[in-house]
Amino acid sequence: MSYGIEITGNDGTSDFLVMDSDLNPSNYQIVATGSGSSVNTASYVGTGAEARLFFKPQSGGPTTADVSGTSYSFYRYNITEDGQTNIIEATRTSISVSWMILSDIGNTSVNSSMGDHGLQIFKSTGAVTFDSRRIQVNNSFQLLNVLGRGNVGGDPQTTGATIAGPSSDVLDYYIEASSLFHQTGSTSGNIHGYQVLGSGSGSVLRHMFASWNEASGGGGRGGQNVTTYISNQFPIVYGELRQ
Amino acid sequence: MSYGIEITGPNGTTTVFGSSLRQMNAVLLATATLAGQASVSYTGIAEATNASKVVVVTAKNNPTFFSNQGVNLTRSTASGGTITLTNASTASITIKVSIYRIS
Repeated sequence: MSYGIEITGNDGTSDFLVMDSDLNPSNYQIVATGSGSSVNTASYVGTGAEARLFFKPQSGGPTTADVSGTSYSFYRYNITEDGQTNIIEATRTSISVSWMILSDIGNTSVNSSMGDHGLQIFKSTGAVTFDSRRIQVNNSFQLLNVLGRGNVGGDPQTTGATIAGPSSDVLDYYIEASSLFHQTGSTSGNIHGYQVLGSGSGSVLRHMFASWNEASGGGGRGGQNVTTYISNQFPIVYGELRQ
Repeated sequence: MSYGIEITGPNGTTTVFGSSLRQMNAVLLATATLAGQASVSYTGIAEATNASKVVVVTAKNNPTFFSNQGVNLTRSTASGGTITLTNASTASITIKVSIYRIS
């Protein structure tokens, strides 16, 4: 490195990079955690500031969300099939989920009670990349992996992703929520959600991404119920809170 | 810990940053509106050409079915590492862009 600070860490397994000013890093921190049926990230980082919402999918049915800009409302699907893996109804119920918001530490305010002590790290541009006075939450988040597009099937009955990480229970993991959507009427629709099946070391993440038409009501093709399950069209980003 | 650096949260006891913790790894979060076939570039992304270390995730701002199609990604070493996203369709699109570093 030519300037600044470089921190190499070790977690007992291997060395890793914690911070290197040469890489012009942006340090993203948890700005809020909570639970509820809806959340607006702008309430925590201010309008116009970038943030990403991560949520915990649940068992008992795929979790989805209405996403509109910075606002998220969560639901659990109740899926009815025709016995041949075709969806004929997809209703949903508002549910409470655990969530956490990730944002650039520069979008958080300085905690005045911490005075002028601590650690600040700047980029070469002069922008702050770390400031211990701006830490809002007594927790940290580890991004574990990004499952690339097309790698996880969309039919929750037959496919699932094995989530690798410190916990053996997929219920412990948070998934980034930006790509969730719901476009469903009474006889046809498009849905996207996540479900945890099983518990403990045998649990898997199920991904639902489907376009469906029910024959009755005119939506089906040739008088048949038709459901097309599609592999993840969006990368799946997941991680874990440490505390 | 016996060596290194350790930063605690507001409670003074929980370690939230330090040499025993892998960090957040997010490099950049942004929202971009691209006209048809327009591009946006993000520079200063170290190791941008290493796809195993720098992962780019896009999602439509208000997601819909098949909404993520039509955004092409290129990587280069220009300007300290550049990620360029191009809207391949003729319709305008607003996307959330997340660039993560995998360590």
